[in-house]
Amino acid sequence: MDSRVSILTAFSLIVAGFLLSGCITYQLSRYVEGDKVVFPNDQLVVGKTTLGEALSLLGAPDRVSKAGLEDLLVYERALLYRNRIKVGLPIPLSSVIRTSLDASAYGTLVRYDYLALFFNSERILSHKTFQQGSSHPYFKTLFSSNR
Amino acid sequence: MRSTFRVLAVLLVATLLSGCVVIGKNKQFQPFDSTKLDSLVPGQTKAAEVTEIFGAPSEVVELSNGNAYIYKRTVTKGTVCWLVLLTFGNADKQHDQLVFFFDRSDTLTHYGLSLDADKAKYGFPG
Repeated sequence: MDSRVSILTAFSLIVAGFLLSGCITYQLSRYVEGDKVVFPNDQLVVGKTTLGEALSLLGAPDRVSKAGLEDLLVYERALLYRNRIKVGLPIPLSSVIRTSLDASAYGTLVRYDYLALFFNSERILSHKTFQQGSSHPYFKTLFSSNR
Repeated sequence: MRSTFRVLAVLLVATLLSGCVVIGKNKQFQPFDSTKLDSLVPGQTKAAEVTEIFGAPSEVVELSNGNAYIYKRTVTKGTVCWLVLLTFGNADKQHDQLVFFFDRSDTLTHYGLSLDADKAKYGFPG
């Protein structure tokens, strides 16, 4: 009798697994664009470092643009994380009763490692800025409002 | 009786692990040959010679004291894994990029090269 109950329980679990698959789903996505951004701070000297030296140190920039009277070189890496949890019926009821139970919540976080170098018209470094967004790990900062 | 349990256990595991894995690769390919960089001489080579060797640039940017020609190729590798309750997705996009800087007289002054497209990889979010 006991074994019969166990079999029934296991069978019920399997059937429930089939029926409920898709009922609650959790999605985790990650998107990375660009290679690691290095920042050789000591070797990038404002008023001294030339465009040629910066290019030989860092390679080709990801973006180049004109910023006022200066030129801007950007080295960038983007990291996107997305979490999504969805609760709903796996079988769409909209065709039968014109309604469907479905609720989902998601969060997206994009981090940038970003090095911007400004060169004057003589192509000498005039300003630099670096931000390392990836230094704030996703799961540790997900629920923080500060970062 | 044992065999029945085994069959049910296998079915249960199969149910929980049912899903699939998809991997994909996307290439936005511009066939520039970086080995030809040796033939360029900053201060002498003209923009026309650069386009003759490397073809049309992906982008031309006006700068404060000239122009920049950008050559870019991109490789994206994506992985998606669906399980019953869990879905994992990962995409990694990397570029090869070659940027030439010209002065106002269209003479090459500098160039920079980054070859990272081969670093794109399949994987899971972590």
